[in-house]
Amino acid sequence: MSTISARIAALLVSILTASVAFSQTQMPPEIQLQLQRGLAPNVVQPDAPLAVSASFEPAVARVGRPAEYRVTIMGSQRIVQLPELEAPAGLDVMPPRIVGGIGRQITRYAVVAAHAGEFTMPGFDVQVGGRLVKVPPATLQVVQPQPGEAVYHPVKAVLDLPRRDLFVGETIVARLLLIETEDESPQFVSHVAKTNGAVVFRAEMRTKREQFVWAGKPASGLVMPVQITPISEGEVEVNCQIVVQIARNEDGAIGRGLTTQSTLDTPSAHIRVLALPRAEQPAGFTGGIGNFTLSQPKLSAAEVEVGEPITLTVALSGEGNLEGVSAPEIGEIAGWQGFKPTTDFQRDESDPSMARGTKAFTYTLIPRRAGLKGTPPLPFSFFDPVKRAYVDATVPPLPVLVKAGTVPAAVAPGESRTEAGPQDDTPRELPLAMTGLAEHPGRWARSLGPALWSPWFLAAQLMPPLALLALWAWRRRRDYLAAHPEIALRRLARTAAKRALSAARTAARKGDGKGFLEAGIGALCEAAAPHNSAKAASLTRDEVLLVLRDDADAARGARSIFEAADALHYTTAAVSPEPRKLLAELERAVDHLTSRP
Amino acid sequence: MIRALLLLLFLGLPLVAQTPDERFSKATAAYTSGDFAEAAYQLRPLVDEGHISAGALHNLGNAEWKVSRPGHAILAWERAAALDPANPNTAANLRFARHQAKLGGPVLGWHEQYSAWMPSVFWLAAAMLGLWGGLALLVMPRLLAWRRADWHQGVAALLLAIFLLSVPAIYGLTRRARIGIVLEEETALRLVPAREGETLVKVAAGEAARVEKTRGDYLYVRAEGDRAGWVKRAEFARIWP
Repeated sequence: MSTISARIAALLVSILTASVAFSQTQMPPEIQLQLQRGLAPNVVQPDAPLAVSASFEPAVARVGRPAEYRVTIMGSQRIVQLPELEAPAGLDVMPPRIVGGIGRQITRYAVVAAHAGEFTMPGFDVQVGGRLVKVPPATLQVVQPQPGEAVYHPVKAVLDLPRRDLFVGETIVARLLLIETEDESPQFVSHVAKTNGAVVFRAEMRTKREQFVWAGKPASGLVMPVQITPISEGEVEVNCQIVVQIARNEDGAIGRGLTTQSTLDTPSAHIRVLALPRAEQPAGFTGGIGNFTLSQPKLSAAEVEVGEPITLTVALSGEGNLEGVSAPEIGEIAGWQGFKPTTDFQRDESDPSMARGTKAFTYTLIPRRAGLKGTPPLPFSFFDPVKRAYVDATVPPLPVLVKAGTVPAAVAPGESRTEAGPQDDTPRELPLAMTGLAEHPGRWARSLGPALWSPWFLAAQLMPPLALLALWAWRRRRDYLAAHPEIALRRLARTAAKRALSAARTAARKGDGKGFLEAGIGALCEAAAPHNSAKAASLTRDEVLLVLRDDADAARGARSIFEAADALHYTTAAVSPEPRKLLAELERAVDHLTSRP
Repeated sequence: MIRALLLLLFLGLPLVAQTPDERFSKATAAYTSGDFAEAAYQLRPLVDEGHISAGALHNLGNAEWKVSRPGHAILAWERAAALDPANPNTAANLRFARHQAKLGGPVLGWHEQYSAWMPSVFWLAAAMLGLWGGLALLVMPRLLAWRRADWHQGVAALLLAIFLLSVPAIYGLTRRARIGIVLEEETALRLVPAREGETLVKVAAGEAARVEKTRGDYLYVRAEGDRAGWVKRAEFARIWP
């Protein structure tokens, strides 16, 4: 069964092959050729008339100035293949460019004559459609430029290096400048290659039209960033070759806007390549040269069990040979087992020179014993070409708690599980690390700074001096009163008299004659006591009246009160004193006594 | 609209009701679980609302460092150290951060270093107690007619000595009040206090500088190495605001 199927399949294949071969043998050769070149087959009439002409534009050119050799074919068929031109000696012919389409095709060659004279481009055959067509010869007259005529300035290519002193392995970003002139303008670069120099040369095929300063003069043109990495020390000469499309700005023969392809060579750029200082090379140096910063390292977990892997990621950013930098391998260190790190390079797309980027290194670490409090320090360093010194960028230990777990810890040969680690008697500088969290907030405050200028603090400063001042005043008063006891007596008497007078007023309001008289006599005695150096209770009526002798009215009032009291106490007849009438006299007498000095 | 407001009020009530201690604990839990951004998010408003403590500031510094805001982290740790100068963890974090960022600390005069030995509250209390206590002990026995005793003189001399010892510290406190921290990376120090002002130099986040004068929204600051210029207020914060 399978044999039959195989035979049927072989038969079908042979039929298909035969049909294709037949069809190809029936196809005209020019169509086969066009099919092979990927062009649409020219299916117009092969016998259609063709007009072929060749000419130089302009017919008379200057030495050193470009002219154009044109082959024009008028017809509906396309040129299948162009032969190599046999240009006369002294006439430099550039690669051709075909313009036009159905009906007219013009093949344009830029030519430059090296000397004056007559140059004749010989006739040649060209295959158009299915037939060969004879191209007639054409002649170009070349004359010397007129005295005073401007020299033709072609596009110039130069390599602009930021520095001339480099280190082996250092990557710098230079600029390839294609300088525009009044005669020519570079359009785009199709190829760049280093032609000389012990350097790694890498061109970014992205150009930008810019204005810049070259040789102290403002200029404009295309700028292409190129990375140069010297690979051996010594004096190095670097140059490169550029294939560029150029538009000539000259009116007339060639016209504006049409481009020709040119190959330009840059003049040699000399650089001095220095060796890295090997004597000072620190641990963790893996060839990184540039201006880098190390990002904050990140751990995949804050707690881990023995034997459980965690990852530590750290990124190196900046400008330099980042792509070629590798991460140092750590192996086994301080209770941790480290594996070869993986790297990931990201170019900084926003940087037009494409020199900046970030390279992330991811280490996988496995703790081999419980109780470790941090990851091991990861030595890393790079060389700063500007400072001409190595920079230590060691990744510091990160806090991580290693707990005993179910995963069995790997034990290195010759190391015991119970050992705390290798004993090293030499003092070493411990790397700095961030500490943990505060477990308690502590005392809450409302402000941070010192309360030096706050109002309450300033007010509090007034309290102690005021208190001391008050104490001093109190003391002075007390001493004064001690030195003058009559003042105190008089004040006491005045107070007692006022109190008794108040009681007399109350009694008078109530119509209590007995109470009024008792309180009134008390008030008189209290008021008179300071003037008699005796106690109020021991004063008699005469002594009180003696004090009032200088005021007859007051004395009369006081006497009437004393008499009313005597009448109340010592007579058997019913006496009813009139306190309201006597109150005014009492007040006058007491007032006189208390106001006396 | 009213429903939305009620919902907002309902959702916001738990936040309002939380005490500073509860918010501190919540931030600590977020940090411990590795959510450093959440921890910073919890602690920032706590401190901004005036609930300030050395522990909260220390943890805020840790969280800010973890979310790659070194300027804010160093500021928080400096503030924590101002409240609790004896805390070794905060001092260690400041050393660590400055080592990582290759920054130096603020350059302090002797009186400023002296004032940093103790919290500002201690120095103010010592000065108050020393001055007024000493004067009171000298004056009050005479005013109150106490019997003269040797200990009165001794204690008064001691208190006045405490006052004299606290005077340089208080001067140091007033000087330290001008110190601040650059918050943002590549902060420009400008020639004039305006956005269009020419950039004289750029300073790194976490660098310490002293405020010399202010004008509108700008501060004239001087960093280490006599790098001076105008900086926007938003890009710089005093340790003692």
